Amino acid sequence: MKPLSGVTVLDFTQAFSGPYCTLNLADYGARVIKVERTGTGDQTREWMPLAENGGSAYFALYNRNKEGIAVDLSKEEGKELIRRLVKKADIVVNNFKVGTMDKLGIGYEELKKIKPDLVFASVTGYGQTGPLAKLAAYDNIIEATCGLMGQSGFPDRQPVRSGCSIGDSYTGLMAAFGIAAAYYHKLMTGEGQTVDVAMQDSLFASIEDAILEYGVSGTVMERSGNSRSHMVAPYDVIQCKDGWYTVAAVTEKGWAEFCREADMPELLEDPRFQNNELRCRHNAELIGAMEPFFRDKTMEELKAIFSCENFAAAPVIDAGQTMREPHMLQRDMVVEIDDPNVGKYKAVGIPIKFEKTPAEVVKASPLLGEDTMGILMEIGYTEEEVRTLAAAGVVELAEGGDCGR
Amino acid sequence: MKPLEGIKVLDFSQLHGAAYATMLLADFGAEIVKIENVKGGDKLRKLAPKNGDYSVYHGYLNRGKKSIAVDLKTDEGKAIVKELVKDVDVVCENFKYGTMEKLGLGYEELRRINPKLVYASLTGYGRKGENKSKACFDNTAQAFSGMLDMSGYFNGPPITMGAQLGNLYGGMHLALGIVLAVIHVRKGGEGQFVDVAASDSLFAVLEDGMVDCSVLGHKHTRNGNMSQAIAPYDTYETLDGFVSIGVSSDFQWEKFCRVMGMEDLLEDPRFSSNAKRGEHYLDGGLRDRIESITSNMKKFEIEAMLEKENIPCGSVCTVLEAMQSEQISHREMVLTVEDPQVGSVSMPGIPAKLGKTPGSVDRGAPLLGEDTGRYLKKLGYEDEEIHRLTAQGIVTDGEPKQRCEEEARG
Repeated sequence: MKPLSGVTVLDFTQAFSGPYCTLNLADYGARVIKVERTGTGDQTREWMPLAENGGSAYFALYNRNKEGIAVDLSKEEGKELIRRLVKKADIVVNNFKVGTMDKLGIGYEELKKIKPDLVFASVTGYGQTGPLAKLAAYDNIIEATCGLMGQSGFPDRQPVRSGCSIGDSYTGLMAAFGIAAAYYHKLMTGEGQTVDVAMQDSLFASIEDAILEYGVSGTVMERSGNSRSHMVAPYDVIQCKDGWYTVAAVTEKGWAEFCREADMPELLEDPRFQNNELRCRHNAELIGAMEPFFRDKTMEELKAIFSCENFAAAPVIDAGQTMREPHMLQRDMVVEIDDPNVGKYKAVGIPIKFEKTPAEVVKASPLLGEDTMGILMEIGYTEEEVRTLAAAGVVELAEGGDCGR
Repeated sequence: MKPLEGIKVLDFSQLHGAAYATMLLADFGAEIVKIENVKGGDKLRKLAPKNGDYSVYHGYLNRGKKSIAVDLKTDEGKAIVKELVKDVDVVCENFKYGTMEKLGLGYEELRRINPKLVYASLTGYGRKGENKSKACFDNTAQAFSGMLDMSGYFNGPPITMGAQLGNLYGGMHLALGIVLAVIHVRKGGEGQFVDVAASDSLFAVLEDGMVDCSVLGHKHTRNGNMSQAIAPYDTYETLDGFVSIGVSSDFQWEKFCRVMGMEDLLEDPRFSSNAKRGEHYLDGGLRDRIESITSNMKKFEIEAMLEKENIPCGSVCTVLEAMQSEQISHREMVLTVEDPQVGSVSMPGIPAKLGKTPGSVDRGAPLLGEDTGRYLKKLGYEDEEIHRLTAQGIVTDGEPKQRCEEEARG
């Protein structure tokens, strides 16, 4: 039993934002039926990195715990099949361009006639409404237009985009939250509704201090590199002998602890650094005074010096090192999955840790059309009918797939 | 009606992270009662950006919440909390590991009082694992998760993004976890502990950064604003700032070359597919060629030119340009909220738009202890007792009107 056990999601999403949303429903127990187009399926089935057998590990990573059917939505029998499936579903999610589901004849207005209490969620670049609603967008476009890139990087250098498409993942998570709230409402009152989440809205809301600062003082905050000295100091990323080291020693206790462990009592005495406000004001001198301590030490040496009881510090490590950290293994944040698309590989574990109803990886990502036969038979199609639909190209069955669940 | 009406949360969160989670719950109708210490309350009340002495950051993250100020180190203070716990669905906190236990208010203690309780905790490293007791800030969570290593300049330093990603992702996962755990209770299931770590939350979204290491066994290089899947996908200098562009399909590439006046590239075999464009993007001079054109135009000019062809493109906006954009205002993404302390505040709106029961912000952040008296009365405390507790410094009862008058008097 998991929190969303018994909840069925019909998932039309592809790429990253939508699949990350539905992953957060699947991991916690919802039955997510991924609807892919026949022939190619989700575009990420071709995205790097590819495993030895040519399958995409990118696809596998964010589509575990989901079932898959392959349907040609442009064909009337394909639409009919979706209408029959929706009767069983609680939630529909899509991240098509605005208007696509309507054009296909399976938009909200159509589907709610069949299933009045449906929660119908859409994830798009700019949202379902407004002058830009119809525009296509990638993560780098949204990170630019929402103001986030303008706040990221050093003031005298280029603005920086996140290295991992946070416009997609953060929005996917926001959509999962919106869906959970709408589903809760449905559970309590029986009422369904739409959930409309935009990448630009979600990421815009993330640049909190810049928006608040402008609102209160009319000042447009500059990019500040890795410092946050408009709020706290020292808070930075400092170069060490073999890489980079983050440090945040912003409370008085933490600052004193840092000075003691770095054996720099003179900094603790320095009148320029006596409290957070003074340290913020003299941030450049403060970081300049701290740098020599880091410069001739390796990350391992620094790790051994810092207790991190009252101040935070950590080396900048790559994802591969994170995957080997004992702490992450103790938290089950790395799980091995035997996946039909890519073989055995290591994937990220479950981030929300429920004590009594823990989430788990119960299945790997689906082959294209792996569950077509089983799911269609569940809603009343006979095996022969499904084979006829497959022959007509309305649906696709995975070769060697699991027929009849 | 709002979707989460009926969910009651006793909220010990301070600063960011968990407070962001309970703000999302408040926007959608949950009742969030903050428990703050009597000596100044939430530390965020003192942090920038400020209007005079008051933090607008606090005003934002605590909109729609209520506040009770209690000295948790006193027995009577603890007794008040234990009474309050009887009637809530959720306790939420982001203290350092072990703090609530030391106060005698840990999960084991509280679930005895309320067996259906959902106890939600957000910390930097989580409640299990060898780093659980270590201090963790947003930048250290980003570093430990592997995310920081992926963002930043090609051959240059890693860059923490201009948003507190550890707090935001941690807070989002926590908010989702809380709603899911309450759903489970409403369906007749048990209460439980929900443990979320900022570092896990970031590690979960590393995309190809993770599977590169996992499947190919090699490190994902920091590559500025480029992508390993699509080319050209980058940010270019313009006369008045920067612009981001993304061109993936051959169809778009053709349109892009024509509109940019680079038709000669259509004949060039080095750029005949997305994969080849990626391979020759830097060495083959594609980046320089594109920038030679963008750097002679203004960013919004380029945006308008490419938008006409529906080629994904966007100016790198300042916060002001973003706030003033038609789309952002159409989507009501900047709200003006009347806050009792800081006055009128412009703050981010509500990104998840629900069709029938939308979220809304109905009031600003509470004054410290604004709701103490009301909640104590609900628990059955008499006026006299409340006065005594206030006089002894065990609670602060800050009725808004009184408080404003006190402040006006100085």
